[in-house]
Amino acid sequence: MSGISDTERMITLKTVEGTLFDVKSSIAKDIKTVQAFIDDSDDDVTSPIPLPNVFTRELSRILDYLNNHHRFRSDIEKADEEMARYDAEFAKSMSHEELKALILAANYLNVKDLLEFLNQTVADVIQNKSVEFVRNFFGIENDYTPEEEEKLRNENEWAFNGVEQD
Amino acid sequence: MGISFSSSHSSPPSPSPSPSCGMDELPESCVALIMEYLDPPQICKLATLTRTFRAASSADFVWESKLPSNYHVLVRQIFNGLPTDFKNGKRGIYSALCRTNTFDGGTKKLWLDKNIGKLCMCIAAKGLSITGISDRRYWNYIPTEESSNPNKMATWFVALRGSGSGLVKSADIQYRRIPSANLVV
Repeated sequence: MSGISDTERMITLKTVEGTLFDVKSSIAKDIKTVQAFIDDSDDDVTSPIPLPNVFTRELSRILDYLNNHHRFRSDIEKADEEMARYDAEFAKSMSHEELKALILAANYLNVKDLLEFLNQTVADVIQNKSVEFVRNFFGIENDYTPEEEEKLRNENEWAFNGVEQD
Repeated sequence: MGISFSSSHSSPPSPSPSPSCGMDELPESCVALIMEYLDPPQICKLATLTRTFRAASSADFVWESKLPSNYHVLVRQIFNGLPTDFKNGKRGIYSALCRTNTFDGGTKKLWLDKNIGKLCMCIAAKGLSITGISDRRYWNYIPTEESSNPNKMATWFVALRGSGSGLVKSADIQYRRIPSANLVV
């Protein structure tokens, strides 16, 4: 399935900071936002593709992830096991802040597999955690008035009957 | 590897490197995608965080993933297609199905386990279909202490074929309790 060859075409991506990354076109295919840009240009992309919402740290991580996954997939026998180990390490290597930044980047670039994996990772962290924990995790402030909060509690009451409150 | 760092000279240096604090909030669509992996009570709990989270928690695709795949059959059967809070979309359907819903002339009750979205059914003896049920020469209802109370019904997770067909997929059926000797053959 993978038609990776030494002569494969390279695409150049440019981050917010201006860092340039050369990416194989087979990898670029998994970055749907980039692929859409290439398709719109009738495959005639000669200058670097600017990614105005993506920082170097995140793009570097995303490409690392995609390259490794491509490599794993080329070796069917060990693929699942190695991929799982790599994914676990990948998730562990990031702070919560970095994880969120990566979700934003993966969302903007529309890297489906990675985004699903990251969302699952975040869900695992916040599952069954208190509202306060999740608020800290996402670094967000409560923007409800007390009246609205009360209304919300009523609206969601069905879900909490018989469930321990925080 | 397909990556190479090229030192860049083509653009002015960016004033801010990768943000390490004070980053943007995750957009509603991202939050909703994360919620897809959470249990329903947790989703509702997170709706109280911010407006963005609340909006994300109402996304139909989030609840579609929590509802049983045949929920439209349940809705038709129980509500005749029109439960009261359908205006709340799939989330409303989920919460409506989590209530104890009585149907088939009060002989059956059905609800979703709100934590996992699995279907639970409670069928009264009179709601069970028995081969040759119209032929009363071979059997009779014998009221017992349990069965005389109309609210107290036998909880069956088996023997649904026929009477509950379409509501429960056979793979979902789990036996929980069969009260003894309610059916005397």
